[in-house]
Amino acid sequence: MKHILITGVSSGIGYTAAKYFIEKGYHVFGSVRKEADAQRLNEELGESITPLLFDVVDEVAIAKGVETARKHLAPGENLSGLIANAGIHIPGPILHLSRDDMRHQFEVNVFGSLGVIQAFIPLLRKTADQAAGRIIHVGSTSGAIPLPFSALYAATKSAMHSLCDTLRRELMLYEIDVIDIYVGPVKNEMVSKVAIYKERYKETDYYHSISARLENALKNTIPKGLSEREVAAVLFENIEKAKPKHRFAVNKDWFNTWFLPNLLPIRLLDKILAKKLQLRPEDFEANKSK
Amino acid sequence: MITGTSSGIGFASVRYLIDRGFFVFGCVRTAQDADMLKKAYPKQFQPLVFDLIDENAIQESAKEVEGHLNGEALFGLVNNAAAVVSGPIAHVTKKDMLYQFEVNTFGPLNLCQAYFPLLRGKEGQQPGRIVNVTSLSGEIAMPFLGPYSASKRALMSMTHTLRREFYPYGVDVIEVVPGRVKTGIIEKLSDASNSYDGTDFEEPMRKRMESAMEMREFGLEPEVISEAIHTALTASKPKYRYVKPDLYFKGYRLPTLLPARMIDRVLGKQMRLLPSFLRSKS
Repeated sequence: MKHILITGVSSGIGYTAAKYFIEKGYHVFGSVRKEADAQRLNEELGESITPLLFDVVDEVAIAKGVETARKHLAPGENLSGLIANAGIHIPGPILHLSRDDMRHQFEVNVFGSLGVIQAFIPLLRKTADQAAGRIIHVGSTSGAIPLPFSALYAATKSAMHSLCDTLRRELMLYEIDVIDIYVGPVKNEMVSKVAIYKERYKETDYYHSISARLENALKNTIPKGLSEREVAAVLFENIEKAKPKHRFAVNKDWFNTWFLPNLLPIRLLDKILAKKLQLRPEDFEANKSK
Repeated sequence: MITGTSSGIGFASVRYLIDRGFFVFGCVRTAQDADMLKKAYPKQFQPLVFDLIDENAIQESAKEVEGHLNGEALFGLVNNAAAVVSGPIAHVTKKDMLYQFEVNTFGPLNLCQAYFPLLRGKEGQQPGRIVNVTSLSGEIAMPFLGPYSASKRALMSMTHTLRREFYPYGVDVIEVVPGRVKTGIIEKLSDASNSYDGTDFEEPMRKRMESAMEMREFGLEPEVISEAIHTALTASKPKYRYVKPDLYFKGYRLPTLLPARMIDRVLGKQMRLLPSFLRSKS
């Protein structure tokens, strides 16, 4: 039997991926933060899931999760994969973010992800019967193309990009491979979660620009996005295939959300973004009177 | 305003800019360093004593600078100060990770926030610029420098968002990316003093430190980076980033051009990180 750990399985990509791996015959260890979510997963997904109750920022709870997983594995069994999926997005204009916002964003997405990886390395190592497991980081297009009002989120994904390189190089010693995926826009509820932050910035110069960014996401980007199931299929494929790429992008609207912005000169991309998001000096002037 | 002026790139940049007619505010962590710099440049330098992990002190320093400016806009903010946390990434503690990001990532972002009003200036004044000094390690992650590389990569990302969000105010944000600078990083490797003896990484880590010590006199003169900082601050149409590798081809072009998996193997062999090394040990 093959086993995999997926963090953040209560909803979104994590939940869909857990279901997908179960369909393919895996046993899934899935991290959730709430007891209620653990019960719900047990009811919905049955015997094939073992919910692990931990917040990625809580090292003690993670250690307990490792023990639960270790007890569940038969002798000679290991984890075929660890999918670092759990993450949060604290949006907002840089000028109005606090140091606590910075800490919180990095504690979950960077220190938390790394903490989980560190703790589960012993279970990923190869055994007499099974090859070493693989780590996949669920990254984001923002890691390569940072957009205004997602400064902290984008920076955490960039930091993880670098950490994936370091992990891949250092964990060669244990034959544990590390894959970093830039996941493009996904059709799910994430944006509406972010939308509630908008009103917080009503009194700032950036209000109209934030509205423009959200509107663009809801009208153009998200409807053209990937389904969670498509992302889950990519994750599965890359846990299974013999020679995965160390880093790649998955995108539905590949040309516009990946190819073009990476091709354009940076200063030109700045200008295009400024126009699109009403971030030109003349936009601020005009929006003042609104 | 330059952070981290007691040594290295920051120290060299103080002189470089003073020689070109600037008045420099320099952030240092100790009163001793402040005195040393004040004595060297009595007329064109004002030391500010604070630590980048202290957000309130950052705010206070901006007020102090505002007092000195006397209504003028600040010409530039150079985020240069940095700490170096090293170690095998499988064993680096959360405390060390947090410290690394507090100094190298959150601190500079806080400075950008605090000094923004001074850089923006008032109606009719030319807005100033921000220069973030990152590192080639952010581009090419070397083993055992995981925390440092990641913190610099995060700052690279933030340089883009800062530039895009400050665009409407005319405050430009530019990155200077140094490769290896003489005596720079080695002096700072003591920032995290954890020992990794007893782990599987003990030998590779020790080898890495030894070779780093041997290479301590190798690298760019800090003035090369000061020159790039000066260009970023003063050019009429600055580039969005200035990359200054110590070895252009071997240290920059080649590693960014070659397939990553190939570099993995080369580094793995050099640093004793291939699985065969573990097998031979056991």
